[in-house]
Amino acid sequence: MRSSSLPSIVERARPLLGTYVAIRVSGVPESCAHGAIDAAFDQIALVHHRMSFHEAESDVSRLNENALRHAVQVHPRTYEVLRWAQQIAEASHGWFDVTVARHLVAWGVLPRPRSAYDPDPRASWRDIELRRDGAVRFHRPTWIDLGGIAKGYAVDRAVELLRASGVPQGCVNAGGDLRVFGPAAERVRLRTGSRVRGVVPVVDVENASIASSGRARRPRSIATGPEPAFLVRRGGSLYRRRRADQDRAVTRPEQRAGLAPLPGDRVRRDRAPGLANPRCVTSCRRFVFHRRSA
Amino acid sequence: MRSRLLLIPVASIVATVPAFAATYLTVEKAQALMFPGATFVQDFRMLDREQVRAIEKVSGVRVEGRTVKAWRASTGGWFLVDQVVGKHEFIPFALALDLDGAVKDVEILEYHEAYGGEVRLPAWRAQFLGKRHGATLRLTEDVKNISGATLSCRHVTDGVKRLLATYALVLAAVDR
Repeated sequence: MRSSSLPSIVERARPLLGTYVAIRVSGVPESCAHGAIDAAFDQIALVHHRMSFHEAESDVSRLNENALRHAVQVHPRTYEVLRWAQQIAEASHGWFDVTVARHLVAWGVLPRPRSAYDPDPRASWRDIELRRDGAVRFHRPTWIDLGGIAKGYAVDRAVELLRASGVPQGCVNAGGDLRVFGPAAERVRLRTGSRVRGVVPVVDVENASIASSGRARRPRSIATGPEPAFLVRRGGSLYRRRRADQDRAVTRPEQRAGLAPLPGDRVRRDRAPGLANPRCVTSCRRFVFHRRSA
Repeated sequence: MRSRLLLIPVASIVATVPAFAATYLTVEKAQALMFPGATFVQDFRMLDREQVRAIEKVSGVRVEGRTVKAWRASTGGWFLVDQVVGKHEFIPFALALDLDGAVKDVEILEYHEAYGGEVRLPAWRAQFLGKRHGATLRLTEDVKNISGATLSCRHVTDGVKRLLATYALVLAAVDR
């Protein structure tokens, strides 16, 4: 059964996390649905306010300004995301690295943060110390951006909350990083930037997450790396590593050109004629859509 | 099977396909959610040229339409509806301001996205009018999720900035 056939579907969207976050729930009375959606948006707003690169008072901004000089206390949620980021950085041998902010600023994707120094090109995730007391310290001049992981984290927090509120079926979509939960499969359209004439790529997902990495809509200057890749993870979490063979990271192509292969990922070279993508990463099965070369 | 990748032939579904469209809330529903229990007094304003210039100067955002769709809430605060047109997006949104003129909430009312420049064309937009359940949007009814390169919400953020300036320069006088 598809969700659209259920009687009451409530869907709302807000501008958060630098994108449009949409939450859709079904299977509960409308008033309950709105209450649950409000609470889920609150969770996402918390991630937004604490982990935004743009907001001057966010933990990320405070770290970029002060963490080189002294240890900075951050919200437990920020600490948790940083802990995951560090684990993924280690597992991916630095393919995923939150100190990518230096490049994003240089590319004009992010504004220069309030910071007294220029980042050291040698700095990496290894120069971030997560102290046991919940404080964070940089050991080299660097800037961090959690844009590649915080959306997935926020989606997971929101889904946890919706489920705890008794919502049986729903979808949380933070600008393309989305998670579908519940018994019904939902159809997701894949935005690929260029249209393959006559067809629309979609994927039907059930209790799964999708993280997308596409160069569509990006400035040409940084449009490097693989063509759009879509990572579908069964069972849920966008950011959490469960077992070595299920390692999935939420990354962005700005972060070292493409979805980072993690231990357990099958890196596949596509041999199909007419497909331009020389390399892509599949996480679970064959859910990667390739943009056809023009 | 839990997940399947499909390629849907577009021609078999509709002739004209907006890349994505969704309707989230009506104006009345947004009012009820953003100001629970309140009643509303409509207080639309027409901006004169000087006000437009002042708003653009304060907000740094271009004013596209001169009508300010505003309602006063009985519980205090303002409810405003506006829309932004991006390169690919057409997005009506609602803004709730508290008694001090601070942002309480922003809700997206609808979201339409197209590739290319269609969104700027009145004809393209007109296809949505009164056609929420029409054939044009059949693909949208079928596909309620979209994933891909992350879209920036900058246009709505700018729209909110513009409305905050509008409030400060035009509406706040009413509250004083």
